[in-house]
Amino acid sequence: MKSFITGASGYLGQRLAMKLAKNGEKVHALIRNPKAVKTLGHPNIKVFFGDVLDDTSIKAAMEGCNAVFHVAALARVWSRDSDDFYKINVGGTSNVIRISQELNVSKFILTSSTGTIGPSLNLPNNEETPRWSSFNNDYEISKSLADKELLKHVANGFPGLIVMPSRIFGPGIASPSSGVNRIIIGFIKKGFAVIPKQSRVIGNYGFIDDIINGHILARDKGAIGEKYILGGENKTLGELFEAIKNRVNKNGLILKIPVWPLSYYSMFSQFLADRFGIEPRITPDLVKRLGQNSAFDCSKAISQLGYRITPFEEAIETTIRFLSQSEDR
Amino acid sequence: MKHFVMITGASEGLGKSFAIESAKRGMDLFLVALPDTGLPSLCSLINSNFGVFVDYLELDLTDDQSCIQLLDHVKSKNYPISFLINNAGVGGNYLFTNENFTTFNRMIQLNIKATAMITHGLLDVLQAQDTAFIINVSSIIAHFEGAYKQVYGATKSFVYYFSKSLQHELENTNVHVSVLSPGGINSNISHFRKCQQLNTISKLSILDPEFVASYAIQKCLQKKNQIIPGRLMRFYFLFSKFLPDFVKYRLVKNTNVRIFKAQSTLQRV
Repeated sequence: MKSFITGASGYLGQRLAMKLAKNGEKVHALIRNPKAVKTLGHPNIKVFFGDVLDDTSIKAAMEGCNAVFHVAALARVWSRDSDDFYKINVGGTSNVIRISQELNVSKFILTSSTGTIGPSLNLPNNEETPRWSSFNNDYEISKSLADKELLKHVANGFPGLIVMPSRIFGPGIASPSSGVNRIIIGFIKKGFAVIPKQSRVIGNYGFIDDIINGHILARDKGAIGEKYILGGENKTLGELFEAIKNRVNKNGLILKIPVWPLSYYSMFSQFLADRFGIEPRITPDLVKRLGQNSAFDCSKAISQLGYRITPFEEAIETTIRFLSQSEDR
Repeated sequence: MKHFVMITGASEGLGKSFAIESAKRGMDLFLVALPDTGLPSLCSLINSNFGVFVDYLELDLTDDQSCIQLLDHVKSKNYPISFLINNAGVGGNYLFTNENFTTFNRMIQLNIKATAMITHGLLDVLQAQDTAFIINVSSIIAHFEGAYKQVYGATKSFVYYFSKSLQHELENTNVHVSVLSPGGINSNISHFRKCQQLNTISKLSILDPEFVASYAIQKCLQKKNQIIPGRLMRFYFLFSKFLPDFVKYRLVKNTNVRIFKAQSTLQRV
């Protein structure tokens, strides 16, 4: 089995490529930034430079592969030009699908996000939960349109399926994509963290190695046209911070503040972003998310793929050990 | 007291948020929306999360016969409706001369006729309850006339006048009527993208349907007459009363033109 991975220089893609390579499988990795080559140093990995917006580069890299992991995406809360989200996440996905069709790929795994399903109410969301909450950011809209695009091709016989990671954390290359990793690093450096008062809001935190195994299981056992949520345990924000504090620095400070200053700050950031193109550290949409549950239920992946969840405490422990070591270096 | 709420246009945007908000408050629900808009799965989501009673009917309220069918259905089921939310409506920005009249006819049928027919048909049910409430969804643009919104704005003016007058008529009865006059609402993906063309202030005045629904229900239960959600919009509304007409017109024109252009670009894509 030879696999093609887009976004192989990213947090998830890089670790997926290395995992497959260590398992003895051949990997074709598509990356944009030449500097990322050193993170993919393994004899089983062949690196290709290119872009999901450039068909020729995709085709050259995909040639000879039977499985495609389309991991590449613009995964952030803001971009100077909001059209970027649609060009890359929707347009890029159609390009990779089209070339996979031309090259007769036997399985296509699209990395989506639980963000497309949105927040949860009293019960955890699953793959069938209809979206009840409004869409508020281009990332989620574009990822949800990419899912639709794939399912449209599946209806015409394309062998695609979708995996949806929740909030990812764990060892990996330094990246802004993992909010939890950033919180841990901040706590290690500064010894304190600021969280909103509503610390009983639930989120789903997925350990990166579980999610990577989930991707591979989806390729090997996943049914065409299906969606699988790949996550971890559902924890409140308070529990998450306590778990971090207890391991990093028992005397650390967790400051609970009301949401409204954050809300005004985010509006100001939004203004600076619109007016002067300054990247916002927090957007009004993120502030809204802070008050909403995002619990997810991974039973479908567990029962149909054999997906396994590393216990939360153990996963946090591993992550902190890894991040402390990389901070020391 | 436990309310039984009926919501029209409940499958998307503000209507869906009204449904979720009512369920959060423990109300039983009867939802109405167009066929194939995901109403059954919304109902089962609400029922499993909140354990309240939920029923639904799928029909197109731009048709008089459907309105009559809806009223008959409610009466035959004997639903003790104590909260009516007339939310179903269509809008958009159109050049009056370029657009087919069907578009405007739909607006008039749904925004005006269905609202009036359903309210008229259900008043006896509402009056039979201990206390009852009606929210009619108008729009802030009923107070800001401008290009591209001729018929839509006029239908919302109807809803405003109708609701205010009805409230006077029903004063000192058990039925309270509120009119909701929101500014921009982020009710669906295409609207979200249109609003990105606006400046920061206008963008920040766009509210999430979840907020509008929760605010509107809260204020209606407090028996407010006109409900304007959003501090920025309330300020703008009050402020506009002191503006000379030509300044007010300029401001409205600015926003309308941008939205109209954004809509035309998105349609071409």
